[in-house]
Amino acid sequence: MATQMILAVLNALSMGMAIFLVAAGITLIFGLLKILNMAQGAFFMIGAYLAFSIIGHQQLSLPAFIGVALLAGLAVGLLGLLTDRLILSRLRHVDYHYMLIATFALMMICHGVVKVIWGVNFFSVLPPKGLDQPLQLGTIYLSRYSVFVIAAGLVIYAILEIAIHRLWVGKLMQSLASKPWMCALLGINVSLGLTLSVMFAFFLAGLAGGLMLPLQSLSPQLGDAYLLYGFFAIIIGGLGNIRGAMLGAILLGLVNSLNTILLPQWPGIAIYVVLAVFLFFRPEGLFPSLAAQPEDSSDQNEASMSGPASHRKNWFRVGSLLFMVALSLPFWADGGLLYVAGSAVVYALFALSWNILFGYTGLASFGHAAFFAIGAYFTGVILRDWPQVPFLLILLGCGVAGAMVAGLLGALALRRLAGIFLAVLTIALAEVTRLLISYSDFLGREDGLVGIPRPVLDGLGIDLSQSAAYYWFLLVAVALLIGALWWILHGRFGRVLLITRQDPDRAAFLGVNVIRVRTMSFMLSGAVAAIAGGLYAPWARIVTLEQVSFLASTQPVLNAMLGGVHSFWGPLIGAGIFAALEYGTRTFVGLSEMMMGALLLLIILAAPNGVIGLWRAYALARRGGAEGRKEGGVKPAEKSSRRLVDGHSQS
Amino acid sequence: MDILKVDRVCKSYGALQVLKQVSLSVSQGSIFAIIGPNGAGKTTLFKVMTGESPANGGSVWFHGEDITSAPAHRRARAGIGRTFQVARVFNDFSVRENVIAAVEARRRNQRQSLGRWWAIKPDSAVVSEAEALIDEIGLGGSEEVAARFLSHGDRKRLEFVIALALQPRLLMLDEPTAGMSPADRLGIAELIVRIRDRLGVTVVMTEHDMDIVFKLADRVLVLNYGEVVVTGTVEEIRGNPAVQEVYLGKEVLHA
Amino acid sequence: MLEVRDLNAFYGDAHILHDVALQVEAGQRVALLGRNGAGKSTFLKSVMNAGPGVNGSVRFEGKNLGNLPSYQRARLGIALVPEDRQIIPHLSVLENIAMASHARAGRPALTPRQIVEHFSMLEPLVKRYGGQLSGGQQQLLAIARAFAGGPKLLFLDEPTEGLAPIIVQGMVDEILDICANNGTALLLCEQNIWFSRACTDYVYIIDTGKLVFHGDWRAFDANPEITQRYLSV
Repeated sequence: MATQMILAVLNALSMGMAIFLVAAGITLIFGLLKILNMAQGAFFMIGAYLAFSIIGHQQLSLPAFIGVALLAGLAVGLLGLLTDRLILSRLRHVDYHYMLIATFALMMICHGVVKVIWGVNFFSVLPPKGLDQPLQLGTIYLSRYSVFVIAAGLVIYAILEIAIHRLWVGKLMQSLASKPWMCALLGINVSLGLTLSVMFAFFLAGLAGGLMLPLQSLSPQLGDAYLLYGFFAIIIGGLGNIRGAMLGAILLGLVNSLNTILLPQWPGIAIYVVLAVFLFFRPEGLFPSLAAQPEDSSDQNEASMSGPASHRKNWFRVGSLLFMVALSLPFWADGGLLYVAGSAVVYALFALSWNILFGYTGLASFGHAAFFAIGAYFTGVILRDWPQVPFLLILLGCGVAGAMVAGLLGALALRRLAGIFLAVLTIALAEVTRLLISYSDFLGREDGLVGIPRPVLDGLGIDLSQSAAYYWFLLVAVALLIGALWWILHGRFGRVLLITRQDPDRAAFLGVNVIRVRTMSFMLSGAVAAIAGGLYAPWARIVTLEQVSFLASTQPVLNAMLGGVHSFWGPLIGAGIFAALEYGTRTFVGLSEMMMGALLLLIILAAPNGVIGLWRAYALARRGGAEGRKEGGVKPAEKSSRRLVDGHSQS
Repeated sequence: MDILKVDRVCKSYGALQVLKQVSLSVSQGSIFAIIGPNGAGKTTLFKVMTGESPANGGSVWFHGEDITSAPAHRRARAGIGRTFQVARVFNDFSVRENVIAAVEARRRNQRQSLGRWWAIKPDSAVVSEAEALIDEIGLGGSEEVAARFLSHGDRKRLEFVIALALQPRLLMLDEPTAGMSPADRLGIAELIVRIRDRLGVTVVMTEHDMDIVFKLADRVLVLNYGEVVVTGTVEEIRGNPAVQEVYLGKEVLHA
Repeated sequence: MLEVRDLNAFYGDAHILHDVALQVEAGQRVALLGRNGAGKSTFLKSVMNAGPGVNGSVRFEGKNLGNLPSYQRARLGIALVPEDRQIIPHLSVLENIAMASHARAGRPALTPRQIVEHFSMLEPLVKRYGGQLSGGQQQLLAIARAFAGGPKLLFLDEPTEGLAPIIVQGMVDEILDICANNGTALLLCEQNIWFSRACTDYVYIIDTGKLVFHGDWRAFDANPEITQRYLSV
C-alpha cells in the first residue's frame, strides 16, 4: 500500500512538472504581452514530435537525451521568433481578443501540421539509458525517469525564479512588461526584448516536450491536454506568476493521480471539479498578482464605420432575393449541394450565437461547440428513444439546456477578468463535455449517435423525413430565430449590451449590473447555439464527438470573423462564404484544420472587420472625402489593422 | 442633513497605507472639495467612495445607508452619479445615443416606463428628455457626432450630461477640469454651480486648480500622506498655517 | 545641436503640429510655453518618434534622424522625462535610475549613486519601490533617472504639473546645477511662467500646433500681449 502511495505521488509530481513547464511559458507570455497563448500546448507537442523524429526507437544516453531536448527547445524557440514577428508583434496594440483568436488559429495550424507530417498514430519513446531501471529504496522501487523529470522541473523552476526576481534581465523584462513606451525612451530596444522573451517561452515549451517525451505516448491530442492543464495551473496559482504556476501544476498532478486511483472509470474528470471549486471560492488564485490586472488600453484612433441608412432598402432586396434562391434550392440542386446549404444555414445561426457574445458583449468563447453538441445530442437521443415528444418542444428544451449550462459557467467565469476566464472556461467546457460523452454508452461513446430519425411536426401533420422538407423547415426556423435575435439585439437589451461592451465601468455607473448583463448575453448565446445543434442533428442524422472538437469550436469564430463581427449580418455572410469555399474545395479533405487556422489568421491580420468591413471601407472611399468628413472626418481605412475595434452598425 | 458620510476609512495596498482613518461628511446641496498634494490619497479616497476599490476598514454611508461594499451599479441606482478624470463616454455612439442610453438606464433603475416593450427605437419621451438635457448643457447641434470625435472639453460636457441623466442626488467629480484650457475650466466651473443651484445636486470633487476650488467649494478637505490635515470653509483653509505648510508653500505661486 | 524644421505631427487623422521649426544649441536652455493641448507634449514625442505620425526634418548634432526608432534616439543622447513620469513601480529608486543606463551607449555618465547624491531628496528613499513614492518624489526620480543615460539634451514635459509650490521652488536649483555640471542642454515644456523663467534663457510659444513667438525673456516681457493672448494667465 505504501509503495502504491509513493508511486502515485511520484507520478503526480512528474505530471505536475510537465504541466508546470507548459504553464510557465504561458505565464511568461501573459506577464509580458497580457495575452494567453492558446498555442503553447501545441508547441509543447511539436517539441515532443521533433525530439521523437531525432530519437526514433533507439535508446539514448542521458546527455544525448538532454541534448536532443535542448535542440527541440531551440527549434521551437525559432518558431517563436517566427510567430512573434508574423503575428504577435502586429497585434500588440489592438483589443486582446484578436490576439487570443490569432493564437487559437495558430494552434489549429499546428495541429494540422503535426497530422500532415507525423500522422495520427500513437508513438512512444524509451527513457534514456540508466533511467529505465527502477531505483531501489529499501523495499520500494521507484522509476528513475520520474525522479529525473521531477528534478529537471525543479531545476528549471529555480532558474526561472532567480532570473526573474534576482537578475537584471528579469527586472528588465518586468519593466518592458509594465512600461514599454518609457523603456524605449530609456534606450531599451523594446521590440527585441519582447521577441526574445517570447522565444524563451517557446523554448521552454519545446524543451519540456523533449524532456517529458517518454512520460506518455505521443499523439496529436497531446497538446490539447497540456494546454488546458497549463491554463488551469495558472488560474489556480494566480495569473502571471511562476510560483503560483508551480503550485497549481503540482496540485493538478496530485488531483489527477487521486482520480486514477479512486475513480478509474472517469479518468481526467476530477481536475475540472477542482478548477470549478477554486474559481468559485478563490477566483484570484493562490498568489494574486498585479500583472493580472488588465492595463488600460491605449487609446487609438478608432473609427466608427456605420453603414449608411439609405442603402438599407437595397440590402433588404438582396436579402430577399438570396432567401428566394435558398428556398428554390431543392428544385434544382443535387443532394450534395443541398446538404452543404442546409448545414450552412445551421452554421449561420451558430456563428450568430457566437457573435452575440463577441460583437455585442465583447467576450469571446472558444468552446462554443460544447453548446452546439449539447443541443445536438439532446435532440438526437430524444428523437431516437422518445419519438413521440413534439419536435418544437425538443428545440425549446435545447434552448433551456444551453442557457442553463451557460448560466452555470457564467457564474464561475464572469466575476473577474471576464474575458480571460471565459476563454479558458469555455475551452474547458468543450473538453469536459467531450470527456463525459466519450464515457457514456448511452451517448454512443466514440462512435456517436447514428441514424437519428427526422421528426414529424405533429400538430401540423408535416412530415420532415424527406431532405427537401426538412431543409425548408430549417430555412424557415432559422429565419424566424434570426428575426427574433435581430429584434432583441436592436432594441433596448441590445443597447444595454453595446454600452457594456464599449465601457463596462461607465455602464456600471449608470446602474447597469454588468455581470448580470454579461451572464444574460452568454445564456442567450448558449441557448441559440444549442438550438442550432438541435436543428443540426436530424439534418445530418449523425452526431459524433467531432462536434465537440476544437475544430468545431473554431467554425463559428471563423464564420463571424470572415463576415465581420461588427455587424449583425456578418456571421451569416461569413457562413455562406465559408460553405461556398468548402463546397468548392471539397477535394482537399484532411487539410481542414490547417486551412481553417490559416484562413482565420489571414482574416485577423489582413481584414479584421471581415467582408462587411471591407465593403464599408470601399463604399466610404467611393463616396469620397466630402461626405466622409460630414460623418465626423472618417477617412477610408488606410491600415485596417489599426481599426480593429471599430464601431457597431446601429442599423 | 448629511447626504454622505465617510467614517474612519482605511485603505492599504500591501504594506503601503494610503488612507489612515479618514472621516468626512457632506451636507445636502453643498459643494465639497478634496485637495492635497499629488500622492496624498485623493484618488484613493475618491475610489473608496465610488466603490471602485473598497475600503479595508471603516465605512461609507449614503443617505443613512451603509454602502461600504456596495458595487458600482448599486451606488448608481441609489443616486450617486460620477465623472472620470479622463472623460469616459460610449465612443461608438453618437452624442444623442449616449444620452439616450443614460436616460434609459435611469428609467430602468427607477422602474419608470421605457415605452412599449416591443419597440426597437427608444421611446419618444426618452428621446425628448435626452435632447432637452443635451441642449441644457450646451451640446446642442452635435447630437449626431460620434463621441470619439468630440473635443476634450465636449467629451467632459457629454460625461456631465450622462451623469445628470441619472438624476443623481450626489454627483462625484474626479478632477473635472484636468487637462483643460483656462477658458474651458471656467465653463466647467460655471456648469457645476448651475447644476447645484438649479437641480439641488450635492457635489463632491477632487481638484488641482486652487482657483476653481476657492471659487466653488463650500467646504474643503485637505489630505496629506493619507490623513486629513483639516476640513473647513475656504476662508478657514486659506488662513490655516498647517495647510500653508503642506500644500501651498510659503507663498502662493501663480502660473 | 537640435534642429527641427517643417515638423508636422498627426494622431490618426488629427493634424496636431503645423510646420514647427525650433533650435536648441549645445548647453542652451530653452522653454516651450503653451496652454494645455497646444501641442507641447506632441512636439517632444515627435522629436523622439514615440507616438505621433511625423513629417519633416529632425536633425541632432548635424545628423538627420529620419525614421530612427525612439530607443536609438535615446542612445544618441536625447532624454525625455514625460509628463506622467512613467516610474517603473516594482523597481527600487536606484534600479529605476540604473534602467536608464541603457541609453548611455558608451558615453560617460554619472553612476546611479552619484545621481542620488545630487538629488538629496531621493537619498533616504533609495530602497523604496517606485510605486510607493509620492507624486513629487516620482517627478524628481524621473528627472534624476534621465541623467543616468548621460544625456546631451534633456526634454522636461511639465515637471511642475500637480506639484506643491514648495517642491517646485526646490527643483529649480537642482535642475540648473546638474545641467551645468554635465553640459546638458534643456528643452522645457511648461505652463508655469515663473518656473520657466528661472530655468531657461530663451522662449518659444506654441498655440494650437503652431509656433507663434520666439525670443529671449526680455523680448517676451516687451510683448505683454503675447502672454495675454496665448497663455492667458
